[in-house]
This record gives sequence, structure tokens and C-alpha cells, in this order.
Amino acid sequence: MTTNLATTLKRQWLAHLGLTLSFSAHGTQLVRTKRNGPLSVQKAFYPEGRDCAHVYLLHPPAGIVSGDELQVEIELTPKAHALITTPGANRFYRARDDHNIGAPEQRQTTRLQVARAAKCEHFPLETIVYEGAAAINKVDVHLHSDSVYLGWDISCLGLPSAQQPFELGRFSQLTQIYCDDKIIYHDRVAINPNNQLQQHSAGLAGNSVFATFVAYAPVDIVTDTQRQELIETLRHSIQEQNAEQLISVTHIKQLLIIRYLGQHAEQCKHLFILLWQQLRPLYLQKDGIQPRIWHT
Amino acid sequence: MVATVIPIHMTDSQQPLKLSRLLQLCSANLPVGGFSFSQGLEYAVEMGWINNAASTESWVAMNLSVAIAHNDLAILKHLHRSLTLKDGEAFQRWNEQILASRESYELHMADVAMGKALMRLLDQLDAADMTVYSLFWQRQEISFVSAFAIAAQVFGLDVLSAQSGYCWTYLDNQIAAATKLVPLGQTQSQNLLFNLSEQVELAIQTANALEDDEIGASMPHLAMASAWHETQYTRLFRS
Repeated sequence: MTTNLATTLKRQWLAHLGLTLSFSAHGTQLVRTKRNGPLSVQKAFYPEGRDCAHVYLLHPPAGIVSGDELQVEIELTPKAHALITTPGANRFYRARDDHNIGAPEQRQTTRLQVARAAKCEHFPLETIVYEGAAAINKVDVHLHSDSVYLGWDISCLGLPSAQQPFELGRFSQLTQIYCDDKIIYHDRVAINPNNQLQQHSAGLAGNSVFATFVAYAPVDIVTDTQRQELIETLRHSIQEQNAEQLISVTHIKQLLIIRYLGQHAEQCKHLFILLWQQLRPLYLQKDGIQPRIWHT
Repeated sequence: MVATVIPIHMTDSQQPLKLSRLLQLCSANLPVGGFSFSQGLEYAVEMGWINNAASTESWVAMNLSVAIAHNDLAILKHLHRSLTLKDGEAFQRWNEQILASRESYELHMADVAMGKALMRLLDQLDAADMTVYSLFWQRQEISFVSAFAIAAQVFGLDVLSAQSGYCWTYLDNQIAAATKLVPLGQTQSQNLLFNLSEQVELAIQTANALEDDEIGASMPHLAMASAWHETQYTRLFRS
């Protein structure tokens, strides 16, 4: 009886949002929305025509506390094209200290399933991780070798501008990309008080914002030569922005990997958007016109 | 600092042979090209992040305790076990995961080049029976860690010896690179190797205590250093 009581008192909030986007003669449509909990989605927008659906994920409480587990699952069926973004920053708040009312962990898991010839752009705004958080942000991307994927994650540790450094918190950003069920990218950045990764010159070198922007396209859309030229172009614009010390560009086979390490999420987004605008014509045969919500 | 005294118990009649095999596998003379790769260190020196023995030690120790322990050593354990169990599917999967964890073109290239060179060498060892292991490696890309696991099996080395040997190979390569680049004196380098070796046991313990879904640890600034190294104007190393 006491155990049952203790279990029911433990604060836990599981939220789930499942979306399916399909392509038909009417373009890309949101054909299925399955909701459980506070996560939701507005109806799709079509600022660039019917073939590309813009989808805004809404998370009303705007923050994740201990015991919360948020799951977002998005499926794109063959030939669908979706640009997925969020209207506000995501927040992992300080974890609870009293473990009697439940484990401190806070999780968000995003699973993207991108079918053959489907195109997925996944650009959530930044994730702010408060001091004392115990957060895990996981992004799993399942691609077909014919699909196209552009996606970023931007993580901000603490609120340095408000004199709240990140010293006791724990945060893991894990991104896994599978192509035809074979893992092609496994990237875990795990910050905790024990490993000194945030301060060390090989880790975050004392910075509070780290971010990765990856892009995948099959070789018939982006050839080796085109990718090499693109990398040159991107490096050139990074130089023009005087951001050589903030951004690096590399690739592993068909996967382009761009990293940012610095102090400002706004600066990171500005640079990523600039690079996205140069990537998009090649990867998606579309201009990089910013979703209106990014301007606000 | 007082160095740990490690007694070598020669109870097993095979021990001197095992030790010789381990020394051969981890020798700087092993022709796998490890000394062509600085693993991001050359750029770190160029930028002044590493400029003396202390910062070299800190850089290498950080890599050992975070990236090597949470990724390479943990996966090496799985690779070694999958070979013992003759589980080719598991071997392939862990090989794919370690290659997927390489953070840049150059880190990936170095890992694959060294893996390929070690497999070529093993194939050419007259007395080594590779028939079983060739089933696990169907001529696709192989990580140096995976090739090292195969070598350990062929050489009759247990997982702990393999992990210790892998750490030594890593430390020896990094300190040799630092000796040229920082630069360091020969005695300084030997002091660093002596000190850093003390941290190997903890790295292996950390690796072996991880759950499968805890494996993996990227070093963002090192990854960026490696990407920037691709365009470094003058360089001695291929990564």
C-alpha cells in the first residue's frame, strides 16, 4: 500500500505527439495527428506552395521538468516534404533535488522517419538547459538512402547573460542517424560536473552554446564534386562573416556536418540560416526563404 | 606522484608469449600508419590550445577519460566479445557504430586507413589463421578498433589486454605527435607517457561499467579542430 501511494505521488508527465505527412496530388498534407498530453501542432502552412508543408510544433508549458518525458514522432511517407520548426525555445528546467518524489531525469525524444524520396527539414529553435538540470535530448533520424534530411540542434547551457552559469547540471544531446537501417552518425555530447567537458579546450572550451547542423542527400542529388564545391562556398561565407573560429564544416561521405561553438544562440541561428540558404537550392531545389516565425 | 607497482605474475606458462604478442601489436613499428595521424592535435597546437607538456597532458588525458573510455574502449569490449561468440552480426553493428561516431572527415579517414592497414597486415601473417575472422570482415570499411579486436583474438589476447594495448597505442601515437609539434623533449615525452599510463585502468573501468545505450562521447572543440585541420596551410600530419 505504501509503495503504491509513493508511486502515485511521484510526479511524472508523459507526453506524446505523433504526426504523419503524406504526399499526394494535393501536395504534402498532415494526414494524421495523434496527441497525448501538452504537445500539439498547428495546421500546416504552405508559404512556398503545396509540395512543402511547414509545421510548427507547440509545447504550451514551454519547459520540461523532472519526471517529464516528451516524445515526438514524425513520419514522412514517400515524396513528402516538410519543414518542421518550433515557435519558441525549448527549456529543461532545474531538476528536483528531492528524489523521494521521483527520479530527476527530464527527457525529450524526437524520432523522424523519412521514407524514400521524402525530404525532411528539422529546425527546432534552441534548447535552453537551466543550471541543475538532469536532461537528455535525443534525436533519432531514420532515413532511406534516397531521402533528404537537413536538421540542426542548438543547445544553450545555463543563462550566462543572467549570471547563471552551468556548473551542477547534467545534459546529454544524442543524435543518431540511420540510413537504410545502418547507423551513419552517432553523436553524443554529454556535459556533467564530473567530466569537465564544458571548460576543457577539447570540449566546449568554456562556451555555453554548442550546435550541430547536418545535411544528408543521396549522391544523385549532391555529387561528390558538388559537395566539395559547396563546402568551399560555405567556408568562404563563414570567413566573410568573420566566423572561422565559431563554425567548422566537414563531411563523412554523404553527410555534411557543420558545428558551432560559441556564446550566443542568436548568432548561431543567424549563421546556420545563412548556410541553410546556400544549401537549400542544391539539396532541395528551393530557395531558403525563412519561415515567418523565425523573424519574430 | 608515486607510480603504481604492477606485479606480473608468470604463473601461466603462456604469459611471456602473451606479453610478447601484446608488445608486438602495440609496437610503434606496427605498420598501420598511426604516426601519420595527429587526431586533431596538430590544429590544437597551431591555435595555441596546446603549447607545453602540461597542456599536452591535459588534452590527452581528457580524450582518454571521455572519448576513448566512453566510446572506443566500450565498443572494443563488444567487438572482442562478438568475435569470441562468433557473432558476425553484432561485430558488424559495433563496427558501424564506431565508424558513425567519428566526428570529421579526417578522424573517419584515419580510423578507416589504420583499420585497413592492420587487416592487410593480419592477412599477411603466415602463421595467423584468419579464416574465422574473414567471415566478419567482408572487405567493407573497418574501424581500427574493430581490426584491433580481430588482432587481439588472433594474437590470443583477452579483452583487458586488448583494451590496455589500445590505450597504449593511442597514448604513444599522441605523445609522438606532440613531441614533434609542441615540441617536447624526449624526456618530457617519456614523463608524460609514464603519467598518462596511470589513468588507463580508470578509463577501462569506466568503459566496462557503461550500459550499451550510454556508449559514445564526442568532443566538440576537438571535432572542430579536426575539421579545421582539413584546410590548415602547413601541416605534417594527415589528420
